[in-house]
Amino acid sequence: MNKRVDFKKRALIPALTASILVAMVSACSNTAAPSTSAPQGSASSAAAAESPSGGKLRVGIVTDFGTLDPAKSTLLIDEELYNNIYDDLIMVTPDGKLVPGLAAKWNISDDGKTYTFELRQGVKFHDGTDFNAQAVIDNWNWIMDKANASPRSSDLVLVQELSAPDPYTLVVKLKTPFTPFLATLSDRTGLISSPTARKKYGDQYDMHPVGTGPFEFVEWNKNDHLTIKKNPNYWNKDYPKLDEIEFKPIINQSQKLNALISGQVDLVDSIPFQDIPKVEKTKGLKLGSRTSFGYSRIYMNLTKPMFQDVHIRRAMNYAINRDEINQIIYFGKFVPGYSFFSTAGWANDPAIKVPYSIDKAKEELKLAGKPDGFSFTYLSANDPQSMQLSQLYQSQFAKAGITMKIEALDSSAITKRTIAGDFEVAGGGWSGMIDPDQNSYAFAVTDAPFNRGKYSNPEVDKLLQQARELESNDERKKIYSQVSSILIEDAPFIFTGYQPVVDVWNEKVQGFEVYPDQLLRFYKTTISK
Amino acid sequence: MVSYISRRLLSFIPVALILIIFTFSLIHLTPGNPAYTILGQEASEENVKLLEAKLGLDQPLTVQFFRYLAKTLHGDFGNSLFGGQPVLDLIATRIPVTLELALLAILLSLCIALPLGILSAKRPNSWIDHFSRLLALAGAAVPTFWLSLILVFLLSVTVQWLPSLGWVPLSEGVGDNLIHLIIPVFVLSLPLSAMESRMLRGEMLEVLNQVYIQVARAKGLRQRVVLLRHALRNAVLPVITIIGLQMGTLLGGAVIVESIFSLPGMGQLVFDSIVQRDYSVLNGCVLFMGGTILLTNLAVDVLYAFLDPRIRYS
Repeated sequence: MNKRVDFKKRALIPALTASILVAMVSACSNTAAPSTSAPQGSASSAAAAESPSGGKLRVGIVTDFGTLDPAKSTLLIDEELYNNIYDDLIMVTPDGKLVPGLAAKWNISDDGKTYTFELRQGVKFHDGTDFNAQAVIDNWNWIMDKANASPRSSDLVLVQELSAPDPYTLVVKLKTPFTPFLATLSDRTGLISSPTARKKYGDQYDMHPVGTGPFEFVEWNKNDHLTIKKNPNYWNKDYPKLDEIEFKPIINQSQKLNALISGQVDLVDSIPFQDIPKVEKTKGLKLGSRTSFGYSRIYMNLTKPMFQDVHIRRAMNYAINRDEINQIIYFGKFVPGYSFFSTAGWANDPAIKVPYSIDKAKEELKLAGKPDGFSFTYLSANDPQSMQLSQLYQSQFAKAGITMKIEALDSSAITKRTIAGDFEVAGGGWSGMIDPDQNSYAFAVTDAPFNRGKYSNPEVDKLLQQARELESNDERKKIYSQVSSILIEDAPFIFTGYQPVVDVWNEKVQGFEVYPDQLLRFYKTTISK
Repeated sequence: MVSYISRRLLSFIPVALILIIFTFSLIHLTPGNPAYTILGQEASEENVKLLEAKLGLDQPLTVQFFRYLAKTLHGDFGNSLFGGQPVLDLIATRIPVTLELALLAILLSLCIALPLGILSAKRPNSWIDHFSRLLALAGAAVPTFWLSLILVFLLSVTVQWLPSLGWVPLSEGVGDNLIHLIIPVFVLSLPLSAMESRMLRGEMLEVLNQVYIQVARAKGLRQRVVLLRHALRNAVLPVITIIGLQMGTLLGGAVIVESIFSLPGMGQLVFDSIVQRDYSVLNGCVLFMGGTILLTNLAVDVLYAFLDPRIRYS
């Protein structure tokens, strides 16, 4: 019969075609392993004993950028880029100290209200404009102009007057003393854009960012990649070392480690905590981690009658098992905490603690008149890690007889609900900033912008106001400890602890340090072939 | 035929209007808006109000709608609220990715489905029929997410044969482009081929029972001619309909595959615009997707007319 022969022939041809195609494809592509472009500028290895220069670094980031204009930015991911194309007036070191950036020297008046900055000279923006005091003033005027609705305007709300008595001297007069002002200038508000570019592009400026930083913007294909290249005229002649950096968003977090191993990227800005043991077992990968300035917490809506009873709030605070959170969610990398102030900053006080005790929780419930517990709804973000955490909270509260229902929504909806006060309990993190005031004031003071639970305690208001006006960090620290104690008594928030910043990279990458503010600074990073 | 095509094309106008109204209402009814997303953890009552005013979100819904409609009729689809790119530019950069993924996935699915479908029909209940039934079941049931990660683990991490993610434009190398797409295209094609092969098998079996097939055999035609020239041609028509539908869906983007493999396609664009409440981008995408589905369905119907002489449009 013809049948058998037919079948063989029929199957043979497509199979043959398929294998030829695959062979052709693998032959004419580069090998599947790292598609790095050949590093240029290695002729400058005439500077013999130095680490290699040149090359392209590919960085995998957790999500795509929101905006390239610091004056419009609120997302942490934006800042991971900014410190490479912009310079801050004041910069930070990996252990959290403030050092000169574009501001070479500064002087604060005795009453704490006048700041005089001597700016660095001979610095140019990428478009050739000179950097000077007027450039800073132009940037800040833009931010302070209400028509621009800049989210950074709150950083400058205490500014009364800006002036430039000479081209490189900037004088800032504040309405009241504000010790965290310098820390604010080490953040987005201190990143200075070229006023020429801002004027030229107007509202489209965020597609053509121009700063003074070690790298210049090249192009941004949304969700695909953003490329920056070396600034040959950078004011610090030793830097940068790399020729080019490419940022690639990797949305699926489990792919981050895969991308490192298979060679698609050289460095990633975070990995799921459960992948940390895998990194330690993989050759050729390095992991760096530091505790961040920020914190993770649960907060109650004090306009709801149920949560106006301090005993209910304290019961919840006792019922949370921070060590279990550390083990299950963070694989041991979390630092359990009980206040706004991370161990990474100078205001942390180890004496501030809340014991984990179901017995104490039940006692408080009795005092609240709810010996059999109560139930409430928790507003949770709907991404996998947040859901996991919420479910853990749920099981922990259940041990004290408290029933927690989870309502999962996306971030835009949560923001709207919490601002409108339409929630019972919500949670989340704060990515953290270098000064303790930035991590506490706006969250705890009566009617302050981020105080969504509407907590109000005049004593706390007074103390936090005092702390932002005092000069000495030692004195401020004492006040912050007082505030932390009061917050444990009042328990409007349940602080769970301080998250680690984890970066992982290929051993070919050198000169990279992990910063507690989670930001990426590549000015001295190199990559070998 | 021409008047038929023009009528179909004109019918897009009322469809587009319905799409815009529907999308507009749905996304505005969803809690949250771009001001909340942009301000994120730093949102406060005050700065949200300021930003809403700047973005025109404090206007009544009807005002916002007609403003949007007016701009669109003039060809201005607006800009993304996250980064400022014009919506049309954004969509234009995504189309090549999604188009390539869709075409390759359909092609691969046909390479799998055609032989399997034909052979299963030729020898029902043989080992190849059972095998193809199993494969179809697997293809339809296996979750995309899981299969993608397993393949990446085996082929990119355990051995470095294929890249784990990324998109390389054709302009930077055809080989590079294709090798990055091997796993995503395979994962996309599996469920498609499942449906196609089973449908083809069913149609072929029916056709093979027809009298004209017996006549063809009686004429002494070889088995291959009977199967391919006579049976397949008749059996393939419903399969073409399915392919048309699949193409339409694929052109709307494959969100899961795109996000796992970091492929900047339409799926991710639409998904992100919903989560971020990027209204202009979402509306633009919906209109675009509506248009492509309309065009692919029209193409399939016209193709029908060429393949089946019994069908004539007036």
